[in-house]
Amino acid sequence: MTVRESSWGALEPDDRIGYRAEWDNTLDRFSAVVQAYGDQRLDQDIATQLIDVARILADFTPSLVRMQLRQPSADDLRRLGILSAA
Amino acid sequence: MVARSPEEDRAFIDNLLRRLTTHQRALTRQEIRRLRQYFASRALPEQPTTRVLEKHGKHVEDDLQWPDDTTPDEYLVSLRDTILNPRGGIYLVEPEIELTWTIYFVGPVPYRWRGRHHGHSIVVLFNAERLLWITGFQAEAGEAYVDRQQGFWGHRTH
Repeated sequence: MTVRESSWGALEPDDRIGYRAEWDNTLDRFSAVVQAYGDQRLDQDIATQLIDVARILADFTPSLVRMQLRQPSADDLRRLGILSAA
Repeated sequence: MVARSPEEDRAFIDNLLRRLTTHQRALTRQEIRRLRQYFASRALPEQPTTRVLEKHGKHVEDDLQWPDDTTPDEYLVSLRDTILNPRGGIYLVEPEIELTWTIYFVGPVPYRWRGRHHGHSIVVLFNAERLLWITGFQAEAGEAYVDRQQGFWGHRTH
């Protein structure tokens, strides 16, 4: 994500449009896996990897904001224990 | 069948898309047919280009949305079939961020194109002003993915 952000402004608009569309879909996939986690349908090692991914996504929130990319939902992060329940 | 030059085709599509994005209305059957034909035969690459190989690598090889053995040519075939599918939808997105319209062709994922992590719709994106292909992938959320892009349907999926 750091590499992507460093070259973001130099990309063609079509490449940014494509990346945003694909990223949006990636986060739908992430949400589907979080749902599986909530339903206790994931093996422990996959659940551990999912939480690692969620931490990375949370850490990159400022980059996502700057690139105007969709952020993971607070509900998903809370479900994984990355955000505390309000 | 009326023979038209590529320049006439391009001018017709340019004009149609300009009117469509201005008035945000539903397409007629003839307009749908012309849009599908133009984007499938003139805007989507005929052969695997650098962009096709890049997108094939991401969506077929890495994300496993298509079957593992899908070639770049077959990936293109699946996108072309989606554009031409009469049951598929056509959606236009307003240029809020990049200041250029995007057109989406959306259709179901046929069984033969279902990979291990397939989605619920194939979506094919083009720049609707430069008439260039952007990307094609399988949307996890299907039509709901397209519905939330803050644009409008020129033609709804059946």
